[in-house]
Amino acid sequence: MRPRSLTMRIVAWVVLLDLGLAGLMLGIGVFVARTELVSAFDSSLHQKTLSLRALVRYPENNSPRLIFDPTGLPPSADAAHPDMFAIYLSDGTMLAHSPVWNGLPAGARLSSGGIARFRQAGVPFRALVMRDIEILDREDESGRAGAKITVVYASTLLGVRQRVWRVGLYLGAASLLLVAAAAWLTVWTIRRSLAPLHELTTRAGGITVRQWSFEAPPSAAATPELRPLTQALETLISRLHDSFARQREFTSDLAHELKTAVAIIKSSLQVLLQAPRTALEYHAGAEALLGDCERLESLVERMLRLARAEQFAEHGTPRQIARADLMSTCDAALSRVAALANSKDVQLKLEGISNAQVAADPDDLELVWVNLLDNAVRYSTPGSTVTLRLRDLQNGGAVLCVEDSGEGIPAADLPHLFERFRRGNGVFARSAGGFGLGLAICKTIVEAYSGSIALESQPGQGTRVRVELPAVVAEAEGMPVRPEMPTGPAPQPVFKR
Amino acid sequence: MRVLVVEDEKRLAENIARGLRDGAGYAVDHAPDGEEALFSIASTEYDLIVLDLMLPRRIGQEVVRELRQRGKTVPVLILTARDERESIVALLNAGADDYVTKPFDLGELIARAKALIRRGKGQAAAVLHAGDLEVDTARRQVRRAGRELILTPMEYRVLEYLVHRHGTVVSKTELLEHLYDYNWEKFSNVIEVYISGLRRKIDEGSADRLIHTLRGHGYVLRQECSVKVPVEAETRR
Repeated sequence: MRPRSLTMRIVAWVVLLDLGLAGLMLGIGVFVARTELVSAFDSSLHQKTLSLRALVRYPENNSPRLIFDPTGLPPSADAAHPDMFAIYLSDGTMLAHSPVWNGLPAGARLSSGGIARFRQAGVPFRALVMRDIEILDREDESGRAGAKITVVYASTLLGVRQRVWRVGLYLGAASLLLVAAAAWLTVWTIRRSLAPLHELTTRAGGITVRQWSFEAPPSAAATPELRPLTQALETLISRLHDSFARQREFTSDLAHELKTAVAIIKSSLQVLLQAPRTALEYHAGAEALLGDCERLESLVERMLRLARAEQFAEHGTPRQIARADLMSTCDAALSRVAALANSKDVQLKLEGISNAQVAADPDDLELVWVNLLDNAVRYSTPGSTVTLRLRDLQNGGAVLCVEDSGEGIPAADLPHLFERFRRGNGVFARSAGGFGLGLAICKTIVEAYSGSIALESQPGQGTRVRVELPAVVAEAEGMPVRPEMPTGPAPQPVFKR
Repeated sequence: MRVLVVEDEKRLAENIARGLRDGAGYAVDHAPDGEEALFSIASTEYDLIVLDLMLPRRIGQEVVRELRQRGKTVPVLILTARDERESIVALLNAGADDYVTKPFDLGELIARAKALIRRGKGQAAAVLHAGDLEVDTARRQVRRAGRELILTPMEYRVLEYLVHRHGTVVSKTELLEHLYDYNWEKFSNVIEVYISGLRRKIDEGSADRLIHTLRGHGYVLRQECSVKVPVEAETRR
């Protein structure tokens, strides 16, 4: 789409509208002026006609013939185009006429008021025909009936036309001035109104990765029309900032974990080399170092897992639609945690059965269960039981709960549990040998498979993690169960439709 | 000298403690989180605190601020994995004295620890002097009038502390507090054993004695024979 300036469009519209209105006003003005002027012209015609009548009288010698006395002729308005007149007697004979008189043109139509319009040598004239007017002769006392005459008086319209033209000219000039003023005012107003937007743009342009602060300039905040935009910007930026800060915190936590792991190995070696040691001491040191390396390895593995799960969650579409038999993943996880549970004297119990086939990679699910069971066992008191509870849902999905009766988690820490490397008040961060990555990995994986994970805990009574997974989606139906799935005491997979 | 290592990573804390014990002869205590660290600092006089930045319960920066608010002047050496300038500036402003970034060199950590303790006691040089006695804290060597003395590690620790505080009376309790960590049984009579051993090695063959016993008060390392007893001690007598 061609870029079009908002200002130019608005100004164009305003000018067009103004021009239309100015044209209309000009038309009305000219029409009114012309009507008024013509009506004034007509009344002067009338006056002149009547004054002409007064010049017709009987001679002093009592002759019955009327005479015309041209001494008191009314002056012409336009010397170049003098008025024309003719006086007819009642019998139709012409009594007198102006120096130039060609008679009314044949085509001239008389209006009801006795007005006729015609052109004489290209000059417009307007004539008044006044019929059968009585002669008033003040010296007539003989009782003669007053003779009647017809007077035709024509005067040029050029003066009127000129004046109408002048009125039009003034009106037009004034209108054009107004249009120009309105256009300028519009541009000015738009510029002024857009100033907060420009300010906002400058402010928004100043946001960088290092400089996240965004506060709407007061001018934009005071503009109601801009409020949705500023609010949207503020929300967007604070959300971006949060996610950026989280990412940065994660990277920093990651660096801390990795550097700490390296620091352990390095300092272990340095302690070993600090003084001469016996072979036994070297041996013990090397074994401890091996343990440190294994910890580092597991940290790296977990971080890669998390990164993979996150990538998967972001891109949404699974590389391959996997199908996991819930029961067998649980069995596999239980057997993996058995050794730890044994060493901590914690009993593992599986309750309920499930026939559910869920749309997830069995390895991923197993990792989730192992993480949850591992946590539960670590925070359990010796002699207690960790229960893995399974239940199928009506819609084909399944619910899995891991319950322990351990120390529980303070309410203040609950919201942060699924954060990576939870710390600060997160007492658990490393106290039981974990990295603080387990629950974050679980959440990412479960959510990647459109499931949900929730945790509830009562300090002193225990913790329950509930995972809900949806059933296999329709398009995945018919895919074979992955052959490497371990077959244990789990019931044979049943396809649900 | 007694050091508190605040580090949630047990293995790392062990290594640092071992490095400081073996490499500098310090008594070392360990606190796994910020709360416990503050508790230990409140109940014990430490000569140095080695503090990890990322701690459960209280982050390192809070611990530093808190302990400075309580008026503790003990030097604080920060262990950090972050080397971003802002966080280091914030830490130093909060009252920390120095920092090392992970993964650090244990030798460097020990050297910095020594320097901080020295500074904390108002000493700039690594070699401390008291009359003709010379204690090289870097190499842990002791000379009297140019003659090198061979001390046991524990004797050295007692002497180093006395030299740092030279001229002031150090009670037996103070010595016990600063020379032993929680892992060791404390018997006050062992101090007397070390002192007599030290006295034998240091004052042997010299005209003026350096280590004096003030019965009921403790010990003082000083050149002159006449020793100023603290005012309150005199009135009690």
